[in-house]
This record gives sequence, structure tokens and C-alpha cells, in this order.
Amino acid sequence: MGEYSKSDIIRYYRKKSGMTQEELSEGICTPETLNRYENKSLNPTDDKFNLLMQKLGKRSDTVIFDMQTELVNFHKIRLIILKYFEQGDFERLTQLIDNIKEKEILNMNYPENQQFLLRIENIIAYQKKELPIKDYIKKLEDLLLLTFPEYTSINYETKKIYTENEFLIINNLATAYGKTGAFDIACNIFQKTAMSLEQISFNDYKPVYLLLINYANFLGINQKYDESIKVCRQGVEWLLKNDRANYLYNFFYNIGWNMIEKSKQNRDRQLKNTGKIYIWEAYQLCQIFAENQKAFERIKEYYISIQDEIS
Amino acid sequence: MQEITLGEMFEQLRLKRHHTKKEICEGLCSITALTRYENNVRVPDKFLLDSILQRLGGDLIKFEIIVNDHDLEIAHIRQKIELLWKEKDLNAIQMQIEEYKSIIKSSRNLHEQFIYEKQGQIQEYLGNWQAALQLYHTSLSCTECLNYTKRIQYGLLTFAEALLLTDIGKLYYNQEHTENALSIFENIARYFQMHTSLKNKSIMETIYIESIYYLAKINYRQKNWGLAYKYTNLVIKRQLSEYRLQYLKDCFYFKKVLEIKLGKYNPQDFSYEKNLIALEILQYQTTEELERHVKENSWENIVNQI
Repeated sequence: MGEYSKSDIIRYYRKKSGMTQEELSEGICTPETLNRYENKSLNPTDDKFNLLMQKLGKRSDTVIFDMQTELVNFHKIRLIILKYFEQGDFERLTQLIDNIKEKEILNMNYPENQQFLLRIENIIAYQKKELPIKDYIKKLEDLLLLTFPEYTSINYETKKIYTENEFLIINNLATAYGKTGAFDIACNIFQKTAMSLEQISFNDYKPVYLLLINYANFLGINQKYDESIKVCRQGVEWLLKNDRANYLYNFFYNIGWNMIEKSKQNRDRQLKNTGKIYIWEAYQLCQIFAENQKAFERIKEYYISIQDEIS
Repeated sequence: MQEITLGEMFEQLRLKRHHTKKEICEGLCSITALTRYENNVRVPDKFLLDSILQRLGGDLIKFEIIVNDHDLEIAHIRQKIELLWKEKDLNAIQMQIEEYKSIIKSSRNLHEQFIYEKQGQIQEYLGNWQAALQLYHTSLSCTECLNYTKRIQYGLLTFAEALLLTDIGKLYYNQEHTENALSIFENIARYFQMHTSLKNKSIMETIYIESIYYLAKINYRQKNWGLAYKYTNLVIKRQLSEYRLQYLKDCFYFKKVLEIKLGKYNPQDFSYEKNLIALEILQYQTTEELERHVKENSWENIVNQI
């Protein structure tokens, strides 16, 4: 029957606990032996295995699922948190988060849990203007470093595999750097992360959407119209590939906006008309996939405003 | 509130959904084996685990699972095969299948089910539809699902079994065996009506929509305009509410055609035109394509007013 490889279990729980091989092996075996257990060149006896598991605080007789932010029950809570978050209902959100911390529903020893909860707390504090942007950035970076110690803002390089939490934090950081005017840093983080999207497979499509739309907005605001359009196209392609139509309108709107802004620079009539078609498209999509009344109104207003400009 | 054993979780889920052990493990493993899993005496391999979870209610629950090397290797081979299938690299697929067969150690029935299905798809692609059908049936029999009407009425399906049924249904439809196709898709739709909690952003949702879509097409082919219209609207409604694009363009088009046939069409209503154009535009990846198509189709009037 299937057995979970002991080596995987040892290494997985050791890394999670933050222990080094020296620390874990102490009193049980040599660090070299532990290393051999972990890379499968030596199979630990049941006694040694039990001792190691005990030290890691785990029972060894049954396989245990470590459900962290993905607890069966917590999964629902997580969805509610994200819903309030999107709606901007900070009051309810803060209450819920305090509740979770008080009742210890989440084990905050796990870095993933810290990242999940504290990221949102920090965003709320920043949005409520209780946290200045530089501190906000620092706090996010501290969270990220918990599981991504190689991270630096300057000369940022992507990891091979992200968790969703890490990805979202990186997204927030790049956007924040963009707001402080650190164009190169923001651009680098956005660009490198956007390039690594092929390897990503989250259960939720939203993190990737958020990254791309933030990146596109950032480029557009900094007048890099062509680059922004390119990112939007990447976004459209990605949403189509995953058969998710919710936010298509936003990318089309951005493409149109970028084209129209660019057309103002060189008075390109054709470009402006094409941009208008993209806005029309965004409007239609917003109607077909009735998502967001505010967005719908905004697009309509914008469409009308550019109509008036046409002589 | 943090950790739960696998066995406890199986049992809780099973009891919550009022299933018997037999229903859960039918065709997958013996009831004794399932009991051992629920009592934490043994641990199933990844593929059996997935299948059991699917019977327990689809992949609504996310886990971190430590997979042993062997299962990981098989999972990689499956992934490779899926990728190669997209590129239709039949030789490479065959080689992967040989390698796959050589390393199977446990849950042979599940792996063989996968392999037979893929081989069936290949035969279908090559035009040998009878061989394909044979392979699909063999694949179903790996988990004792040949008598699928019975299974649907009294038992539970894994994703693999549900996918196989749609493979077969589509094959019948494409080969003009419309009655058989109708029977299969009606069965699948019935299954989902009995297990409404399955319709939830998992692969089962896609399978459900696909079967309704085919029911629309089949009834259209049989000139049952009313039923075709009903199913078409159902697809549109679900896809819109789930923000999915698949089949939408076809269904908007169908809807218009059916309304004309049913005498419901309102020529003053341009929303179809707009919707269809908007859906068309989605696929143009460059500005040149967009501008060209707008011109060729004379859409200028429509895209110049909202």
C-alpha cells in the first residue's frame, strides 16, 4: 500500500519548524546521518524516525494532514475574509481577524498563516492611512522574508515556486513601490514575476489577474503605453486560457485607455478610434458578465467623454 | 482545531453526505480496505486518495499532501501525457504510456483506466471510432462502471468516470448515433441533479455544462426546438453566472436561431448582435486583426455606439 516517504516527512516538518539539521539531529543521530535520511540515501529505523517525529512535535503512527490556511473549516472563513476585503468592508474584516487571532483558529507559528492574515491587516492599516507607505512596505517585506529569504527589492529575482500568499505579497509590494515613485524597483519586480507565470498553478485565478492589472496600471500611469498594452494582452490571454471572464473588461478598458492616451501625443485619429473599440468591448463585456456596477458606470462615462471629443 | 487524521476525515465526510462505504469504494478498492483507511491502519496512495475524495464530494477541499516519489513520478507522467496530447504527439505519448505501465505498483485499476482512456482518445482522433469506443468501455470497466446507468442511479462517480462518459457521449454524437448520445448525456445531467453540491467550480461543473450543451445540440438535431431552447438558455445562464466563456458564443447564436424558429425573435433587439460581436472580438490578439475584422464585417456602426 502507499506509504508516505519518511524522508519527505522529516524534511517537510523540519523545514516547517525552522530547525536546522544540527538542531534536529542533536541527541538522536549525527547531522550527516539526518541529511542522508532526508535525501533518501539511508532509511531511518522506526525508532530513530519516532524520535525525530517526537522532537518535531508530531505523532508518527498516523499520517497527519497539516492543514494550515487551507483548513476544511478555515477554507470558508478564508473566502469570507477575501470577500469583505474586496468589498472594502474593513470594519467587519478587522473584527473577523481579531476573532481569529483571539480564538487561535489559525496557528500563527506557521509562516504561511502569518503571511495570510498579517498581509491583510497591513493592507487595511495602510488603506486607512494608519500606516505610512514606507512602513507598509517594510512590514510586507518582513512577511515575505519568512518564506522567501533570498528576496531583495533591488535586483529582485523570482523564486521557482510561489505560494499564493507570497505571490500576493509580491504583488502588493510592487504596487506600493510604484506608488512611492521607485519606478525601476516596481518595474523589475512586476516584470520578473509576470515572466514566471507559466510555472504558476494556483487554485485561484485572481492573484495572477491582480498582478497583471496592477502592472498594466503602473505602466500606463507612467506613460509606457505600448508596454501596458502588451501586459493587458497577456492578461486577456491568461484569462481566456483559464476560461474566466470576470475581469476581461478591465484589460480591454486599459488597452483602450492606453491607446487613447497615446493617440493624444501624436494626434493619431486611427489609434483613437481603435482605442474606442476596445472601450466599447469593455462596456459590452461588463454588460454580458455583470460584475461590477461601479466599473460599468465608469466605463460608460469614459466612453461618452471620448465621444464628445470626436469632431 | 488544526490537525485531523486522514481516516477521521474520510469518515466525517462520508457520514456527512450519508454515503455507505460500498458507494464510496465501489470499483476502487474493497470495503475492508476502506475500513482500514478510516481506522488509520493503512494509508492509500495518491490516486486512490483522490478518487475516494472525489466520491466524497469533489475536490472542494484543499490539502497539502506529502506524496511519495513513486506517485509523484506517475503524476508527472500523466502531466506529460496531457501536454503531449495537446500537441498530438502520438509517438511520444505511446512511449510515455509504456513507461507508465512499467512502473505501476499499486491501484493498477486506476492507472489502467487512465491509460485506456487516453488510448481511446487517440483512436478517436485517428478516426477509428469503434476501437475508441471499445477502449472507453474497457476503461470504464476498470472501476466496474460499465453499467453506468445503474451506477448513476445508485452510486457515485469519480471525475475519471464522469469524463469517460462524456468522451463516449461525444463520440456517439459525432458518429450520428444520436439516441445513444442522448441517453448518456441525459444520464449525466440526471446525476448532477441528484448531487447538486457537486456543481462548484470543479471539473464536475465543466462536465455538467458540457452535457447540457450537448443535450441542446442533440435536441436541435432532432428538431425538438422547445427542448433545445430550454437547454441552450440553461447553458447561457450558468456560464454567465459563473463568468465562463465556453460554449457561450455558440449558445447565443443557437438562441437567436431557435427564437426565429419558435417565432419569438424580436428583430428590434440588437443585443444578440452586440453580444456575438463582443465575443468574437475577444479572440483577436492584435490590433490589426481587430481592425481588419471590423472592416470586413462592417461592424463600424455597431461598435460606434454603446
